Amino acid sequence: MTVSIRNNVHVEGSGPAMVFAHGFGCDQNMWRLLAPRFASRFKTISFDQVGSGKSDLSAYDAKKYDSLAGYADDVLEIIEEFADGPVLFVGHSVGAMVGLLASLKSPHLFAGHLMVGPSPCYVNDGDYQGGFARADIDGLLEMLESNYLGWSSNMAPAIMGAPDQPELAVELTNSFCRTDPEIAKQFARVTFLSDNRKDLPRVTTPTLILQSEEDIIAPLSVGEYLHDTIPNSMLRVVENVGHCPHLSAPSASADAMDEFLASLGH
Amino acid sequence: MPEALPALPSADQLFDEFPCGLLVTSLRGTILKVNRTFCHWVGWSSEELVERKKLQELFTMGGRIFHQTHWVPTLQMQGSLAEVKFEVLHRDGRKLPMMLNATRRSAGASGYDEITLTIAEERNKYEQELLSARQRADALVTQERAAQRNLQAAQSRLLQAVRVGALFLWDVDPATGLRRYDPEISRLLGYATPRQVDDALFQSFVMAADAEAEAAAFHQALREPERVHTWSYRIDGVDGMRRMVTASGQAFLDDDGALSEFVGVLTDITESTRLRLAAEDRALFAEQMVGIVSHDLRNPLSAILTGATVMGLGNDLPEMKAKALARVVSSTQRARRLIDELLDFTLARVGRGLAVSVQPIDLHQLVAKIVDELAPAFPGRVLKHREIGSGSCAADPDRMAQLVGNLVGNAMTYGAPSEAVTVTSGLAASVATIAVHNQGEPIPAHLLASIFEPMVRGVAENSPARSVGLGLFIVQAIATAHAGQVTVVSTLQDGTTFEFSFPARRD
Repeated sequence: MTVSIRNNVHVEGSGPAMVFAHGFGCDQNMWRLLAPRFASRFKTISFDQVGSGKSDLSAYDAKKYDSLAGYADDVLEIIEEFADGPVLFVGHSVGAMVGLLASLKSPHLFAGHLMVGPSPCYVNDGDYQGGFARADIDGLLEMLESNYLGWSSNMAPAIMGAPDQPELAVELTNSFCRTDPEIAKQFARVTFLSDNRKDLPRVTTPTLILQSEEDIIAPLSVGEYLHDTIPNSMLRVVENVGHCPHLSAPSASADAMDEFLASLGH
Repeated sequence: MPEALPALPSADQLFDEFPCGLLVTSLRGTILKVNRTFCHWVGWSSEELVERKKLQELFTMGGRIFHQTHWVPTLQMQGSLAEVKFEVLHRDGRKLPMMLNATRRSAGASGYDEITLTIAEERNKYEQELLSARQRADALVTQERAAQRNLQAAQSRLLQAVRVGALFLWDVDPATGLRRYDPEISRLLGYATPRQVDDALFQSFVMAADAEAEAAAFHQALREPERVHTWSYRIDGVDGMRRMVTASGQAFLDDDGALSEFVGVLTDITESTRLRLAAEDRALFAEQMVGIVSHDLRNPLSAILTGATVMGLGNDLPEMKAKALARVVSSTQRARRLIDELLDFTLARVGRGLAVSVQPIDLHQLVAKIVDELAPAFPGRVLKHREIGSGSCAADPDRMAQLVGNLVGNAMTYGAPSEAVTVTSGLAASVATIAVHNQGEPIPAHLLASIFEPMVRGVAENSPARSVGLGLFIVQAIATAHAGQVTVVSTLQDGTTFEFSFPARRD
């Protein structure tokens, strides 16, 4: 099976490669307000993590994807196949940590990290404030379980239509955010119980940390922790409430990214 | 008659009293408008909610993550959402399961979301039941798979056993009550090649004398399904061979007590029966032969011994003749001892085992007497007796003399001639022991493991020191007959000790 089918890879534009990795929750459509802004200058490569969106579910191997390393291996394969040189890696939330792990394995494939709402560890640990207690994560797992019936079979059919989104295809409406419940639970566990703090000082790639003013999943303190710990990093806070500034504040997000890209000579 | 239409209250009042929660929030979730029904459900007043709280702040932490990772992007992407379940926190901390629908009315950045909420306690319970039913079903499937694997393994095991053990399968047709046979069974009936064998055909081969008992055993097996039944009978084959078979079988009943399954196996035991009978014959023959020969030899030996003893009376023989006569006496005694050993060996090895006549004894006194009697046979050697402990025990006194005699004989033969041989009798609460110790070269390690086997000798074949190696075998047979054991420890430093230990009391 090809990497292209496995990860439902989409390539637009030409130029230096920019890879967009989504996080836990939905799929590559999360980038639809942001990625097109770069397609005129860059070759944008977006993909679905295996188990999400329209990735090939038959490729989901519970053993491989029992840690972020499995997802990082996929990223390296995507880069090898679709990029010609070192890439600018845009990762949202846990997608940013997947990119970070991939770059530690093959630093030469990465020119820069653009991390949107990243967190190296979601659970509080001593002085470190990740934002969540272990019990909160268990609550999320229950929530995924209890939404199993509604979300997996017929997730939010557009019974009320999408009045302001006429361009949104029905087909997309039905697959976006829909996941096999067992996969969703494992991905949630792997994501929210991950701890990559010890990997941060080893990052050599220039890194942008893009935080939202108000984000319960990746609070500002976590952004500051990342900035303090990743050697060559830039922290930018965008005026946004929520964990998805690329959806709710695409312009401000793009501005911060452009500033970082300019510092790299793009 | 036309329906009398009621006058409706104002839109605001309708909104407030609608039978579901109604909320309007900003794009960031800040509550802009809320109806009374919702306020009543969650225990907050409208004033406490409007512009003070965000929708997501009414969710559990798990719900908030879900809100950020699923709700927000989906609403952003498709402008509406339906049937999403959240646990909404009541003011007092209680969790209320609610189903949420939402529509985004967006005009650039100044849009808003309309949200309806309905309490889903019953649906929640129903879904929980569905989920746990599904989990139970999954568990059952897992169990079923494991059971299937076990069944396959059991079937394979059975098949292998049947092939390797040359067994034949049969069962009973629950509908007709007739027995069915594996075609391989034809070989038991003397056919060269397999053929269909039905109940009537098979029964026609059962020896007439056995047929009635066989049928009775089979019907008993049908009546008593709680255990496996076995019975044996003879078959006269078409090849003229008479075969002995053992049948085994067990019935299985269904819930109504009717036969649902009967599993049976047939074994050809002709050969093993023949071999066993032949072995029993040989053992009996050997026992009888040795018994007769030893009995017949003992009489002439007694005559020689008596004659030689009479000839030695008085001191009138020249020294040379006296010495020769003494050798005749001791050789004859030895020959008689050997015959006794041979008889014991035959009994212990191939026959019914050594006979012992156990009676209460005073062990120390008995061993002291045995040592006294043995000492003259070893002129120039020191034989000591030591006693440890006190108490009572039971044993066969003649066999004890035989055992000590054998062990002392060995100790004298293999021990250092300059050192004493010590016999120790020991009595403790539950164990009695007799140990015989000598100094000298230890027994070679390679001999230790098999030293109690017959014919093992501690010196080279051509050495005159020892006759036949039956002694230790008989010592062990005596020990076994007393429910005891013999052990040996042999080192250069501490010499060699054979110890016989046996239960002081046998109840």
